[in-house]
Amino acid sequence: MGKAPGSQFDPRYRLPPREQGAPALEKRARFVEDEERRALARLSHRPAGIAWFEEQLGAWPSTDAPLVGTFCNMVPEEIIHALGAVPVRLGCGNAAMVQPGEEVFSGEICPLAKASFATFLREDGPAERCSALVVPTTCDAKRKLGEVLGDFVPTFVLNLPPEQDAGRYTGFAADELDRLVRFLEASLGTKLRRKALRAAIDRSQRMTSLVRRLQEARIRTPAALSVRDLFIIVQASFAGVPVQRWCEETEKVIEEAEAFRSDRPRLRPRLVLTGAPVLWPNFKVLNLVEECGADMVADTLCSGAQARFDPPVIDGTGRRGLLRALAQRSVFASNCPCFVSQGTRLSRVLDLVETARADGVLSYGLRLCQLFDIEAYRLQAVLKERRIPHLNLRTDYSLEDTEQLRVRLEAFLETVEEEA
Amino acid sequence: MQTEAPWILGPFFSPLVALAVAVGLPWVTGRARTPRRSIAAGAAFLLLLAGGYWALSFAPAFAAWLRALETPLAAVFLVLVYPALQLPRGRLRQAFYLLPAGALVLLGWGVYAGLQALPPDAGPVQALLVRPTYLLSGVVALLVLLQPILSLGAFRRVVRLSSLVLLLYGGLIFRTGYEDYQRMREMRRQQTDLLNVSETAPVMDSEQKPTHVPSAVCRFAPGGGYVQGCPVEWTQRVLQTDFTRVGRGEVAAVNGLGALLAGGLVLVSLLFLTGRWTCGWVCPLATLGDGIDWARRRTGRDPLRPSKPVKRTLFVSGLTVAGITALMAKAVPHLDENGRFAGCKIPIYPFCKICPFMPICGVAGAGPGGFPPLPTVEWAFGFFRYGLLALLALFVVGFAVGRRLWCRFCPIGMVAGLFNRGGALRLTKRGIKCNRCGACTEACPMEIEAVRDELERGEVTTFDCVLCLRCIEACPRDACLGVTYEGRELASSRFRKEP
Repeated sequence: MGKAPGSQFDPRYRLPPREQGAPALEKRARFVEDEERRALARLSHRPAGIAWFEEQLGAWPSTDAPLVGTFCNMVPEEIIHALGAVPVRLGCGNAAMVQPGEEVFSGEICPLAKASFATFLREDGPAERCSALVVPTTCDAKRKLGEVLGDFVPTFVLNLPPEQDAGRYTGFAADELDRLVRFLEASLGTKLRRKALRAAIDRSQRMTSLVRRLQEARIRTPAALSVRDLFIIVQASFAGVPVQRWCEETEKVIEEAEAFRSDRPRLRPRLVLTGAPVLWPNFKVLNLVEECGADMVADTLCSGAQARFDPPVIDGTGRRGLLRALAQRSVFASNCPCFVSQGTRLSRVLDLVETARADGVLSYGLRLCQLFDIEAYRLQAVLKERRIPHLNLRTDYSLEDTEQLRVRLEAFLETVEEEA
Repeated sequence: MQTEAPWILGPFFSPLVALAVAVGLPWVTGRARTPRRSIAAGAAFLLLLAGGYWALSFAPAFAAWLRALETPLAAVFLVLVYPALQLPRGRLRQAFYLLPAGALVLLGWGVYAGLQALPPDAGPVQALLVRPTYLLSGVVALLVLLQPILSLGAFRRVVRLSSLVLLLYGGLIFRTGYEDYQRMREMRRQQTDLLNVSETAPVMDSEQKPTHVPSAVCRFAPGGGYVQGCPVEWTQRVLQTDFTRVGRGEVAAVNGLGALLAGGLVLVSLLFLTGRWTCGWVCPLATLGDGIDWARRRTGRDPLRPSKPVKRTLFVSGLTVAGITALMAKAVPHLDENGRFAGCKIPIYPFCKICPFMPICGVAGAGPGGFPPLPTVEWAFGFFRYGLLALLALFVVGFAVGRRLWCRFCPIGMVAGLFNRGGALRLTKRGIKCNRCGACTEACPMEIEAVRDELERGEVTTFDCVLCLRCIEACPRDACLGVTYEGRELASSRFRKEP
């Protein structure tokens, strides 16, 4: 069989998919999730409707539509919705999945990539469930992972421009999205209709406005909504739930959060979180911060409020115009450190410190992610120059260093409280 | 436009006072520390200006000049527009809304009085007989009152449509009086050859006081007539002036030039106060062109984004055409008795002869029959015939395939563009709020890149900017882009997509 037209991978060296069903993998994965659920149950105030969101995490959506696995925000899920499929974010935060991934590759790959790959070794994992995968080239690990995953499921590696220069690269990014559309059309057997895409964009704008309202409620009174619950709400929307249902449930949470009145003033230090993705069930850092007595009032995480903070803005209503709008939202408005220069994230952190009246910044780095590591250098210098207290935590999915981190965090919070 | 203002109201009608207030008042009130003091300082400043004006108008040498400059545009700006732009929200602002309400009442009364003043033998009158000053202030008052309840986009549409109606059909719908109405009927009965007429008679123009406004408002619009023309028309008039006759001291020539210079001063004041805002909000031709744009949008076709060389070519061609026709206008005083210069027949108002706005206004105002005959080829080897056809094609194609491609060529817009930077209206940007998504440049009909790429300077007004404020509507980040008038923020970006 020759190279399929449009295929990105060399067919001569195609491998059979690895065997699935490592022993006790399922059990260990469930254990990690249950452990996190128990930690969440200790929260003093939770919105009534949060259980629905929690159920969606780590579960496959109950739908007959084909599923398309994506690996980050830079894949516009509106396209997938418009093609009649359901997008599911496959980035994995489960500590139990790290080791099986390590057995296939090496230890020197970031835990997110290892764990995400290992989900394909699960029984009833994405290898069976998904009809197609889309992997953006946000880092070297993902760039290479696409080819490996292509052995399991038809995969498209979405090329991103190296620079966030909208003037130079918007056309390129839109071309790549066009390629993605054609790949998905071929693998799903449906056609992209302009009106369907327009409707999907309208729905995602609605999600944006809901996330913004959640964010505002959290800034006003952090006690109204724990940052962990906010992350659960946002990440439930990655799990392929019906958008309409998600919006309705979120609206209920917002109403509750907006009506919430604390009986005493909130004196806990307010922090802004920035850095690498925090994915369910790896809420280690969020647990620590709240247990140590601080409030996370805002974040710039692509797995947190930031994931749905920027809407696609439609100008041209043609197919090309809509793709350009999606490229602008997902590529150029992104604050991922994978681009040559990243001023947007620094600006966002500084702006959030001011608008959310934060006392300090917590920068979270995933071990073995050079992008966030190197960028932390500039972030720290900029924050220091502006006399904003900050702490850089670098860790992975394992719970071994929890107490070490707790000590550092407590010391940091003491300095924050002194300065505040 | 006529001013019938009594002497005491002189300062209100002076564009110089309007300019001084627009520039000076924010500076004066801004320096006072408390609100009460700033009100006092502002009042003192206004009194000083008015006092100076009255004192000057006692001196006969100045009085004639000052009167020649008076225009109701200045009064409308000072009394209705400027407070609406600058007053802070609060009781003062609520009290201010009495003024536009009063202007509306005045307009109603004016229309009623116009009907009462009809002679008994008058037949049916299909126009409202009202003085232009009342009409202008009534329309502006309505806009001022509508503004707080409309979104930015809706407000822009209302302003654009009312400008379109006023500038293309205003002379048809509104007349100063019955005699004036009869004169208009008479004029419309004669089939005038627009291209060969040397001077159309703008209906609302009192002699010797032409009103020029920035942006393409054409006096060749058959149903228009509130204004004398655009900056390019004004320039041609100056160039066509026979300065030898002025030098000889011929009264008509000197008076003509004086009126022109007065009109020019009014024009420059207006340009400073608006910049290229008129291109985005007033220009009836851009509004018509956007009709084509709207139709393209409905088909789902995306606009052509001109590359840099195309933009530059259009800009240079606009300048070249304006330059050639300006040279021709300069030759007009030196024509021989056959109307030839150096063997070539040259018309007066050479730019207007190839400007596509004349036929477009003709068609818009009088239906397809209003399309004037094409210029003959005897003029400069067919320069005017083929030039007109080429520019007409550029206008239609420019709006059909792209957005405002025409406006990169338009020399009238270029004149206004000179006043964009450093003018009263400014586009501002808080770089720290920007996510660099580029939605602003995407939405910009002029594809201005500075609004997306500028992160430090805080101001993104550029020469090309028509201040349509679509970028502010598009920007998804709250308070990132904004527009200020002499330092006071009028609007800023806000993502509102209410679920």
